[in-house]
Amino acid sequence: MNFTLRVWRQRNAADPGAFQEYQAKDILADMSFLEMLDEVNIDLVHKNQEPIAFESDCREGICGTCCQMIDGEAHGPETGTTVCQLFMRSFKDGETIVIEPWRARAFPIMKDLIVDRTAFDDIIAAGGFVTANVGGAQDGNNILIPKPDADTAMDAAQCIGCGACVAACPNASAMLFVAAKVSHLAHLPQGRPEKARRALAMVSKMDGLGFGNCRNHYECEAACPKEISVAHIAKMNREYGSAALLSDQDPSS
Amino acid sequence: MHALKKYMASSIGKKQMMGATGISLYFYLIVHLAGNIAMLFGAERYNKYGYLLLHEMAEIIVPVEIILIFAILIHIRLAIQLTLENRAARPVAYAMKKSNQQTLHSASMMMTGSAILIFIFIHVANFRFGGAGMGGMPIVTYDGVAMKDLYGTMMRAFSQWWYTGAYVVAMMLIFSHLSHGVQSSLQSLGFNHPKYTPFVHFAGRAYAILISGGFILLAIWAYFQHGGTP
Amino acid sequence: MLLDPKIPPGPIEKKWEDYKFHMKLVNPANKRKYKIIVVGTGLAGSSASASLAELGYNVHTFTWQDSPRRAHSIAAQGGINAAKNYTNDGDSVQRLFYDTVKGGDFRAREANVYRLAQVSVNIIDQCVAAGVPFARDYGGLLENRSFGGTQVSRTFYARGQTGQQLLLSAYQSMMRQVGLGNVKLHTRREMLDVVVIDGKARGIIVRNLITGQMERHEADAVIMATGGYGRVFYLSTNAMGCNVTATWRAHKRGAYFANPCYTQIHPTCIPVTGSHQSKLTLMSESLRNDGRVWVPKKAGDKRAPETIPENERYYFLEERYPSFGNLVPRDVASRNAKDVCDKGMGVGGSGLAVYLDFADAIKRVGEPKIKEKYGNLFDMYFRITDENPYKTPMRIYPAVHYTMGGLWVDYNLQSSIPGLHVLGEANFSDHGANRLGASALMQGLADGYFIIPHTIGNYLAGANLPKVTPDHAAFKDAEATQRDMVNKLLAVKGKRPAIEFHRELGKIMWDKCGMARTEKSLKEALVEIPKLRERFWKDVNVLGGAGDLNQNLEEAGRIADFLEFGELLVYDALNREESCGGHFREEHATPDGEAQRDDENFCYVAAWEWKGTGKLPELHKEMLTFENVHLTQRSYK
Repeated sequence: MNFTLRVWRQRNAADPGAFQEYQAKDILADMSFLEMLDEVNIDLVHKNQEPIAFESDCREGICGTCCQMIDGEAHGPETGTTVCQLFMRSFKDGETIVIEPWRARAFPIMKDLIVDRTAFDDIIAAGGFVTANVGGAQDGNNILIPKPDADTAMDAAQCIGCGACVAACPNASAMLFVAAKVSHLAHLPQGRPEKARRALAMVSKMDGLGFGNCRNHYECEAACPKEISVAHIAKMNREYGSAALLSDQDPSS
Repeated sequence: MHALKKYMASSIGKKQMMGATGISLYFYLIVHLAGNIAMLFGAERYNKYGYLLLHEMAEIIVPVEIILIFAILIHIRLAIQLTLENRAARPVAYAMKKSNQQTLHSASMMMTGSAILIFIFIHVANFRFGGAGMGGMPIVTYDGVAMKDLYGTMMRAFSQWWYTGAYVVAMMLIFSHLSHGVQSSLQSLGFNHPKYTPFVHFAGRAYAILISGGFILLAIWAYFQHGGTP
Repeated sequence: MLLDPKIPPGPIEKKWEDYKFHMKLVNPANKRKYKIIVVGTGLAGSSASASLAELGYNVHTFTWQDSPRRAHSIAAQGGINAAKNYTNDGDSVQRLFYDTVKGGDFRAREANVYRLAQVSVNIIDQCVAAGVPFARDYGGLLENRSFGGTQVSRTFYARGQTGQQLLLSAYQSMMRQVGLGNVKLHTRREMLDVVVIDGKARGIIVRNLITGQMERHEADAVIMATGGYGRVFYLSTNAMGCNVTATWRAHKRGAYFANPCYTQIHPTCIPVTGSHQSKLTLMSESLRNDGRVWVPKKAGDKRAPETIPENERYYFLEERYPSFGNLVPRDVASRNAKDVCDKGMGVGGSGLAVYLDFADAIKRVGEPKIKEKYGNLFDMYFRITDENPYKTPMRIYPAVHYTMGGLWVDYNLQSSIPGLHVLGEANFSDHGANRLGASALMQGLADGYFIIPHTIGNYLAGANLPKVTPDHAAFKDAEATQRDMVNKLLAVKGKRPAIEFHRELGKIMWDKCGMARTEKSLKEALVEIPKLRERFWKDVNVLGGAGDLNQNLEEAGRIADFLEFGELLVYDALNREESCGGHFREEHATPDGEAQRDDENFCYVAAWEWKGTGKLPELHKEMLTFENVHLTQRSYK
């Protein structure tokens, strides 16, 4: 298979950047999208041209490092998948493929297709945890957790922090990412003692980082490689509303 | 109060205010539609209904109107703020962007909302404030009580094809706005449940059809009432 | 020279308790004055950062990734072991200890393994408390499943994403400390050197991967939790960024590298399809609970698997190992898969694959139940291979997965450089010559949550640590060394991208030092690797500059280290004239093809001291004594 790639190239954060065209030749259907880019990059080095900078790590869809807007879709045309698990059999021979970085004010571009997603770490640091110092834990079976609760918590906890939700959202909102953590921990008895504080702190941090607002388009859900449901956003809305209006916590804490 | 202000300034607080003000307007639309059905029973009934609202029930109606005005103002204010913030959240647009879940309705909320606002201005001027822009409202007398001929004014307005046509278009915009708005407001307020959400989506759409369809049918009925002559 | 592992005296079940009591403590108010550097944010690094910060230490944590959550612990699928005996099947600390020592083919340090088994139960409790959504039964209790090399069900899991959930929970605990200001997080920093002053590790040199600046960071102690070196084989289940650089650079500064030849080849991976492949994908060992491994009895049988009748299938693990069946340890399963493929019975286009068949399990419990247990793994298989494993058997083949070897550490997890502690896969300590499934997560968290917080206090309280600043000559030297290395790489300006050398190295390693090794193949590798290294330094083309984000440069630096390290690995394999666990020397096999240990001559840890590029490393031995487990020929029959 052969493809024409239109790839966003940007030297650094200050550079305005532009699209450049590349040819990907003799690509096998069984190659992953990133392996296709590897081949293009090897070719570029042989031509003494600087290869395309893109990030990836585990290449099995779990680390959340890879992030590319492919033909206008976060992680490309397949549902429930990351770029690294997207295979070239999903494309037609001879196609032109447009590759862009995630675009959001909160995710500044650092080089070519690499963006800075530190904002997600900041949100977790604000409240995405259970305060449980090592040493004081009781037996894991002391508190029974109904299976449906554990399962729902797990559904939300699957988030890989890739940022596809932000990338796909017409408003670059981070609601699905934040909701996944709020909902995961609010569904477990261990997370409940500080659920009001968590919801308030994480949302407050999110708001301060320049993400957009949720308008319930649900593009995030469609783009999420782990297919996390927007029901978790509703759960967070509930948690946040009751924390802000009914609990004695200050909304900015 | 400080804490409440922070809530209202937060992204979720704003969304929830948006949803809550929206919901108050949904209820209003039901009452409005139900009242308008009185027109099917003729001029006297309808004019008396109008008189009842504005005179005998003024203690209730005026506060409700004030609340509605506030709801609309908050709704507009937040819509503008949210839109500006959302634009700022993605300063550089994608060269290519596909949508998978977004609908025409959800994507055009700001547009339909703005158009509906213009409609509301005209509509309120025409029918709430004594036929402003319509050459005023004549007075009719029933049982010795003088009252505005709301019915006649309306019939005159809707006897014009372009007026009815414009009204139908406005109602279709309201349909679009409600189609996304109903389920969106409930989602913002946190109502999402695997057992009920599919029904909520259906009911939201049904409500939108009922409201806009109801007003449209009444308008068309009015148009044909007078032979549909311009 | 014989190495002293500093194992505390006393009966094995009391060692850790007694030792903790006798350790020196750092006063709570003084902890803040100690600065500790943690390199790596996988399970071990994140959990260590979190627990040390909770204690009050001033922690600085480094990762080369954009976020600590990307560390490759995240990819562990199957589960984490703990001797809880929730399933009432006779499990105990003693049994987990025994299984681990035996699974490691009697090449692990008893005292460490026993401690690991002891704290395993605390790990589960801690993780539950921190909000890990482990699988639960309908009554709300924790679920268990079984794993290879054991006859009890002691593996706790969160669907097929246990590593992810454990890592994220440790990451969250660490981020909590970041938010509280107790941990200073340095992302996109690659550790390039350890700074040793007066014989103690006192800091590190990192390269800021965004600006290209070299940075000096001083500390009172350094902890490295930088993972394994599986990517020396190029193709492995490791992530693209997994590397040996941090441990190798520490090795060059005096940390001994122990047992590098102990590499684990995981039996259930998706087979290689072509040279373009960048990595191999693991299918969790937990699949062997319900999947049956087989090949056609007739060599070269090309029929579709569903059409091969039952009596023409060779369920080789079940037949060869009736008591453990499909759940034999990884090294045994891998070797047997290789064996049947070598005999021509392999399946798939390359003939280098065996079937892992779920038809019976689906018949027994139904597709929904299988979907619930392994859904994400089946989806992943389908996505990669375009074949539906609910309908047709999976094809699997062994692949490099984990490395038991690593920097040598004593009982305190301290390397041969005082003050330099090594945790998780980066150290060598607990798995001997073969790691049992679901034990890596256990070790990572044990080291980070429950061991290093104690032992580092003992070190800090007892060590004389005068204040050092980044202006110290040792920092300047180390920085200059690393700057030279970067400039040297950029100056080659050859023709070929670094990845091509990596692929070549991987091929040498896999062919000559992979699942089966011989004296001849190893000696060939020892000739080929230096030649390849020489060509690398003549012909590599590293584009871009030193002063900005440059992935080529990062990659080339890591490959340069693999090109040196690979030689040590092979050298160690050549030295170890026995077969044990993941290290299989064809000359040393029992008549029925099992690994033949030589306890007489090789019951030791081989810890290597760096002597310079191209020079032979010096061997230091730590003798292994087995007081609680009898050295026997491992049998899973």
